[in-house]
Amino acid sequence: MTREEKIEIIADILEIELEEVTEEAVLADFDTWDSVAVLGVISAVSEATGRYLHAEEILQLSTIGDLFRILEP
Amino acid sequence: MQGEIEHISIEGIISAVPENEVCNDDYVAKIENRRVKKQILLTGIDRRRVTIGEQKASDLAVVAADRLLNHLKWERSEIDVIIFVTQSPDLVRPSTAFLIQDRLGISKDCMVYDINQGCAGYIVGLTTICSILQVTRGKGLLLVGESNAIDGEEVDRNALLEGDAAAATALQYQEDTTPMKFINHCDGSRANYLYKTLNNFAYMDGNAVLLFGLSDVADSVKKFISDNGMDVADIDYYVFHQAQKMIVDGIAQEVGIPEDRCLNSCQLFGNTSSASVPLTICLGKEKRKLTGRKKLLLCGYGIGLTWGIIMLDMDMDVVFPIMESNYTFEDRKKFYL
Repeated sequence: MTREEKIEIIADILEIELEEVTEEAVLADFDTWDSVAVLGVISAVSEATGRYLHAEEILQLSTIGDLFRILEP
Repeated sequence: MQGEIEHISIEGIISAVPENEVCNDDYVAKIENRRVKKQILLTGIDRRRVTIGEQKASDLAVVAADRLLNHLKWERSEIDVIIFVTQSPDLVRPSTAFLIQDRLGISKDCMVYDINQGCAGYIVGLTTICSILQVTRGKGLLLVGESNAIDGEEVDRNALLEGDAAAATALQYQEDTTPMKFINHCDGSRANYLYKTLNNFAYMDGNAVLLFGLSDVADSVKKFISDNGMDVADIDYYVFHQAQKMIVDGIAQEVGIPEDRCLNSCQLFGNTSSASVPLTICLGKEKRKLTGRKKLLLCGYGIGLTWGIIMLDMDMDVVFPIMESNYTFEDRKKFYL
């Protein structure tokens, strides 16, 4: 998956503009970082990598940079 | 709390759902809110059944129980205990189980009460009624049901998950049975994750509940299987509470259960709270044409927080087809509703 594709996925999950997708942005600062977003992440990771996220991995998600990393196959 | 239940057998299970079916896809077409649309697609819940008019969970539960008693040819005087697990009672007090006793014509030589439990309700209810029947050595009815689902344009996000359903399970004391094994967990410190106040304010911390499912529940299932000296493959079918597809799939993945060993019903019926486990057993039997004895692991988890597991050998031949009913009992007119 290209970086551009990841940006699109993350922007869609957080419902933000593409240019707002920056590695250092803190997930908790987004109003849209809720259970729908987390389900979106689980679904996107499952599609991209074929694996299901563990609860600990979800708990450790802190920044948009973490989302880039877990979307890595 | 854990233990073994000896000498109790499940003699029959029937589930009932309202005839009125709501398609979540219809909302996707109507709703402007992109986030809600996304949630509908992510939950894997395509359709739900929703009561209309005055119909309540108790109406569905009684229709199911009545058919079950007729089918089993049990005398109404034989029932020692009726437990109704619900969070949508007919009245604040007394327990709806009293109305159910009267509707079913069960004799007065009986104990009846409600248990206020949600998604783990079938496990808690089974543990409770089995414990009583071990003492009385008689017959009992465990009814579960919910009628909180909403059909209409005003539904909020969480309401899109909920479906109405009820189920009746008939149990009796029997000397020669394979023991059921159970474990129950409760954590009142997390009661604020999921609640409804007396003035009807409902709240759910979706993320916290999701993580609870994927961690506490999955860990407990893994531990339960290994503590009983078993492997995942030793259990024929897993029946998890149908919170929504991604949570059920997530728990199954975490435990390492193959997809074809998990029975499910949320796609067709949504999250039906305490009714979801028996409803899923009934649907699984119908869809997969299951017969004979199967080793099942039942797992409920939700409000409280509560989570529990029961492993049992179930005769799938006593699992009956799902009923559809819009019947509403007239006895409510006795109360000033």
